Amino acid sequence: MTQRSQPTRRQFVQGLAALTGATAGTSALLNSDALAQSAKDPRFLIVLCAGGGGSIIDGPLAIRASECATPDVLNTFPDEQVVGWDGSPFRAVDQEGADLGPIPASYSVTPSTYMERLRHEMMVATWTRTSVNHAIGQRRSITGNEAWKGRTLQELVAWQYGAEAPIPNVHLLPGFGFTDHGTDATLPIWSRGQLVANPSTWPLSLDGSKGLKNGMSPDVLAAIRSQRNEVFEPGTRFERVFQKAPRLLEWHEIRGTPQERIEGLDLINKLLVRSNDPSFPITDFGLEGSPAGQAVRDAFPNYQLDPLHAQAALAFLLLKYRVSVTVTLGATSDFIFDEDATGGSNILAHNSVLNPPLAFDSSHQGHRSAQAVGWQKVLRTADSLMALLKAEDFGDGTSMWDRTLIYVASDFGREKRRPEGATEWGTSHHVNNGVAILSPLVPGNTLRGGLDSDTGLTFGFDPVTGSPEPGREMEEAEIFSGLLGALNVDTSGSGLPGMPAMRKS
Amino acid sequence: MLHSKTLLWGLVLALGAACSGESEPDVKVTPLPDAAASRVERVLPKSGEVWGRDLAAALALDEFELCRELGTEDCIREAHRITMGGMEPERLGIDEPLENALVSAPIAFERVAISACGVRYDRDGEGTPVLFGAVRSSDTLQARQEVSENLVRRLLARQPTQVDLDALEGLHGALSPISDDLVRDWSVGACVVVATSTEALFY
Repeated sequence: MTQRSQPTRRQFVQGLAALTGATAGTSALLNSDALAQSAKDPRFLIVLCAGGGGSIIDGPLAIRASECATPDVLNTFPDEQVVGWDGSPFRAVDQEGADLGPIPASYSVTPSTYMERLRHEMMVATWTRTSVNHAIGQRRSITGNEAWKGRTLQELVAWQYGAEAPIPNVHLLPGFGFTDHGTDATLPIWSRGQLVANPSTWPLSLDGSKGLKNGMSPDVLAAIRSQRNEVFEPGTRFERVFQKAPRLLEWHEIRGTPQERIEGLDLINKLLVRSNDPSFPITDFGLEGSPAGQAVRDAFPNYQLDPLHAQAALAFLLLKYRVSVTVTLGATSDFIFDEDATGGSNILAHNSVLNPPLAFDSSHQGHRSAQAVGWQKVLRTADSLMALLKAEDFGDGTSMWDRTLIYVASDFGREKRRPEGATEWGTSHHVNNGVAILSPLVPGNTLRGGLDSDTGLTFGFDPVTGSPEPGREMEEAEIFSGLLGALNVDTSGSGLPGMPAMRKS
Repeated sequence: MLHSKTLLWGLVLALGAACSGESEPDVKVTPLPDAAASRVERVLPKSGEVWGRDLAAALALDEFELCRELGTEDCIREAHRITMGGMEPERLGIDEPLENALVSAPIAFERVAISACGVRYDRDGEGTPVLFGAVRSSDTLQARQEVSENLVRRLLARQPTQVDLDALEGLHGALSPISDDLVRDWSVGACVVVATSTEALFY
């Protein structure tokens, strides 16, 4: 029989450092003491995905018709719809429409409500993408086009700040390139993204026995596991033959300390968003639900209908309880319809479509309405998350929000032109765009780069001073580096370009 | 961790000695063949649905009886579908099993096993027993031996080895000081040990 010994996270980092020949003074990512310190002083990354192509000139950089030489053939808005603020480069377009593209449902949106609060801690940085393929564009938005060994933003944040977190990197948006794994095989296993397909029921998989009709006491379950892991399995021929198979090694690893951490924190209760009701009778099964459940249900009331609300509610709880240091969420591609909505004069009730099919990519059929509803969802979600995190004490007098960065990630932009005078039209994909970043860690009310209001095309900026530079295009690796810099991730040795203009000085 | 392992082993040995008054049953086992480590080292995980079918067949249950979260959602096909290595291409865009096991996957498999083994144990007390009849009648070493043999045969589709049987008997000793219902806990526990062993979960 063999006795297995799983390496601790600390031992893993030490081994990785030895493997890569790291020496004193090299990256903090390869220094277990530095990682332990970072875990005590973390930053939190929320990747809020505008899947399908969130166009920056339909959001914070909307163009007034009066600013454009040819407003009828460019994606501009009537001046009276565009809300702006003195001293801010940002706008919001409060608008309504009789149809949501081809869907017979009227809609109205008021993003200015959210921008009124968000703009103070919003930075938009322009960039030009390298692909108009959804999956590739999404992936490159989190890897900077494989800028640093194919590692993702989420993996790097989890690596630097998540060494003590039970599940540092949680992906709540399945099926998108935003939640791809990176390609660096040496990455610590804890920093790899963990997919949550169903935010409502996933917490039930965080305890081996609680919540079962005939569960077991923790002591009994621990003894059963121990007998299996230490005695039964090592004695089987299967284990002896395949004892070094990578999948078994991985299984043994996650069955050890990670499992103990998860169960030890009672996450099965703390992360349960849904309250007790006949269709979800948690109290009948000995569960209590999350102490913060009411707060997140109030913030995201459509949590049972709209996956984005369910994801956002769980995302906050994951950060609040320090389960994770990075969460990725976003609107799904599903058509989501609110049967309880009323009013309006179209076939379907007013604002009854909570998510058009394909989210922002519904712009192919109805650009204006898809972008309007999409941005409203993004900004509303960011606003609620910000409010919850601001109210959450980190424990040292600062709030959780003081350490958080929300990155609104998109596949790419959309075509800038429109048929003459059209109020609704379809658009194709376009590489030119910008990213919205919400955080106290970046300069607020700030546009890095600029916008040519005659073409709808953005241009870049000086990476050091932030001064706009017409004719310059920011690369994906630069924005990737700027995001990591704002999050204070140690990028030494990465070869990434320095982007101090994207962090608050 | 090392201390707890040592203590557990000490406990098992001590309890094993304490139980030495029981008669030795006839053991029908195959000798453990020599097993060299594979040079290919390639194993694949069973998806939850495949494993669940095996489990249901072994426990003589219908698949829908294995486990239902909160009494409403099928654990394998609904609540933990992706966690347990399943796919959902239409709604979630997951058209192949995840490349790596999720951190909560072992727990999800255990929940299903605990539930299913518990159902089987309770059924065996109500009608014609399938697995646990012997220990439910009389919790002796011989009865546990019989149950252990059946567990390995039914769940792993092979003959048990003496090492298997000793390990499952060792569970009885480990549970003795901490269990309020030793017969049930050992029966369900032994079933969970075998059903969630890597041999049952991978191929």
